[in-house]
Amino acid sequence: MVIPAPSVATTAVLQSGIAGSDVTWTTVLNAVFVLIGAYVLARTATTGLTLLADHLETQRFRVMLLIPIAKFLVYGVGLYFVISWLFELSTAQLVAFSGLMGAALGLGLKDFLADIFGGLVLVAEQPYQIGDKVGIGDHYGEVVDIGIRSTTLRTPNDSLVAVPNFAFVNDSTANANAGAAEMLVVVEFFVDPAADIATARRIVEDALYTSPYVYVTDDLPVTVLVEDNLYYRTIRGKAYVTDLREEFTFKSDVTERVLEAFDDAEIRSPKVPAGVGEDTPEEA
Amino acid sequence: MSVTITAADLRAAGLDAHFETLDRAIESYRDGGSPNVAIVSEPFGGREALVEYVTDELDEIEHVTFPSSATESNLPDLNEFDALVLSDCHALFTRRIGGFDVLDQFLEAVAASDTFVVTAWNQYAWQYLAAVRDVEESFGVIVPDPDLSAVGVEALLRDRYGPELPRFIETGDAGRVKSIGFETYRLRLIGTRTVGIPVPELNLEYLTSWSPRDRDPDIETVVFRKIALLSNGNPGIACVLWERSIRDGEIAPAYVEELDRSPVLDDQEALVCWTILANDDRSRSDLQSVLDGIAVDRALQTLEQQRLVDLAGDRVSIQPEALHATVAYLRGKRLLW
Repeated sequence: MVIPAPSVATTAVLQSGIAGSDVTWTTVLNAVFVLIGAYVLARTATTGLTLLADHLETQRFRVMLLIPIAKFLVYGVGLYFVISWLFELSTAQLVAFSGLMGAALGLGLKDFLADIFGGLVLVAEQPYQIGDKVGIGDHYGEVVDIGIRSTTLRTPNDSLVAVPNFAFVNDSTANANAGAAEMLVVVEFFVDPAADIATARRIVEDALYTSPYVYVTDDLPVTVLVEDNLYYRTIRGKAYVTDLREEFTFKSDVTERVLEAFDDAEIRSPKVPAGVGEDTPEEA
Repeated sequence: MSVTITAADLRAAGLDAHFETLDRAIESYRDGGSPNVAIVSEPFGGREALVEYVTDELDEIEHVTFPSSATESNLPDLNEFDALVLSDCHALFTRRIGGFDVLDQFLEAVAASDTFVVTAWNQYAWQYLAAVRDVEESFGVIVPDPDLSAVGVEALLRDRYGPELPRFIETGDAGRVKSIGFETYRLRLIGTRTVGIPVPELNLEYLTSWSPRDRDPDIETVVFRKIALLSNGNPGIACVLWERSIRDGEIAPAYVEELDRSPVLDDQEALVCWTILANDDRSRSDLQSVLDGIAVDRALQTLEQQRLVDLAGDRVSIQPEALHATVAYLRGKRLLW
C-alpha cells in the first residue's frame, strides 16, 4: 500500500500550526476562561431573553427564536477565540485546520458532529423554535431548549426528553403552532345514536365558545363536526387555545362542562353491543 | 368613584360625529324606516349620555334597561312598540353553556321586527359577541366608543369644571425626575451562588408627563395631555382622574396618577375580572351564579387588593383608574380579543 506524500500546502499548514502552537498553562487557562465566559454569556442571554419572552406572554415567540441563535453565536465566537489562541492560526489556516480536525474527529465522533450540524441547520431553517409544540419521531412536547447537540422537549407527562438535533434531519417533524401562541385543539365526544344530536352539538359549541382558554377570530373559527357511525355518533369540536401551554387545561375544561351538560340534557354515551370490539369508540 | 357623563359633556369634547350618526338614524325612523342602532362603549365611556340623547329627541320612545343575567321573560315584545331604547344589552348573555339562548332569541326578534331599536352595549362584551355570535350583523348603525383626543379631553374638562379651574403648578422634581430606573435581578449560577443584574425599568409617569418644551413648559398642556394619555380618551376616566388629582385647589402633572403596576391574576381571577369588565358592574350573588365552580369571593378579594375593582355594597365594578391596565392585562392573557 502506498501512502501519498502530503501536499506542500498541507505540510505548510501543519508545520505552521505546530510551530505556532506554544501551548502553555497561561494559554490553556485563557482558553478555559473564554469557554467559561461563553457559557456564562450564553446562560445570561438565555435567561434574559426568556424573562423578556415570559413578560410578553403570547408574543413570547418573537423573542424566543433569538435564543438558539444567540447561543450558537456566543459558542461559535468563543470556540473561534479558543482555537486562535491555542494554535495561533490565521483565518486561512484556521479554515484548513478545521477541515482536518473535522475529518479526524468525524471518524470517532460522527454522531456528535452530525448533531451539531443538525443544530446549525435548525438555527438556519427554524422548522420549530423554543416554545413550539412539536412531534419529532416518537416524541411530542413543548420545545424548552435548542442546544448545540440536542433539542429538549417537555412532554405532557412533564418529562424532559433530549432529542438529538440530527433527528430533525432524519425524522419527520410535526409543528402544531409554528411560532404562534395559539394552537388548534380537537375535543371528541361519543354519544348514543338515539341522543338529540342538535342539542349535543350546541352544547359542545357553547362549551368551546365559553371556555376562558379559547381564542376566536375570523381566521381562527370554532368548528363542530358530527360524524355518524354504526353504534355511536362522534361530535368533534375544533377550536384554538389562547396559548399552547393551556392545551390540556382547555381540553379538560371543555370536556368537564360538556359531560355535565350532557347529563343534564340526558344525552347518553353509546351502548356498544358485545363482540363489536373493533368498532368501539375507544379504538376508533 | 365614578362620574356621570352627559350629552353636553360629549358635545363639548367635540364628539359631534356621534350625535350626527344618531340624528341620521332618528331622521330615518321619522321618515318611516327602522334602522337598528347599537351604541357601543367601554365602561365610563359615556354610553348613557348617548342613550339619554336619543330618549330626549324622541318623546314617544320607550326605554328598557335589562337586569343582570336577563332571562326570556325580560325580553320585550318588539312588535308592541314603534321605537324602543334598550340599555345594558350585554346582560342578555352569560359566558356558560346555554348562556347565549336569550341573546339569540333577542337578535332573531330584532331581525324580524320593524321597530326602531336603539341598543346600548358594553364594548368588551360586544367584541366577544362579535367573535362568537356575529352580533354586529344585526345592527345597521353602530355608534362606536367615544374616544377623545388630547384636545377633546381638555375641552371636556374645561367645559365641565370651568371657568374657575384649580391652579396649575409644577412640583419640581416630584414625579418628573427619572425616565428610567434599574431593578436588580438575582441570576442563579451553578450551586448556590447568585449574581445581581441591573434590569432597566421605565418611569412611565415621567414619560407620560414629559413635555418637549422643557425650556418654557406649559404646565396646563402637560396636565391635560397626561390625563388624556392615562384615560386613553375615555371621558369618564378623564373626569375621575381630574377630580382625584386636585389637591388643595392645585393640580400638577405629578398628582395625576394611574394604577402603577400590572395586575397579577390566576386564570379564575382573570375570568371573574373579565366578567365584571364586560358587564360594567355585577352583584356578588350574580357573579357567583354565573361563574359556577369558581371561588368568586376569594377572586374578588384579590382583585380588590390589587385595586382593580370597586366593591360598593353588593355591587362590583372596575376601578376607573385601573380600567386600561386591566384591559391590557386581559388582552395579554387573550381573554380580550
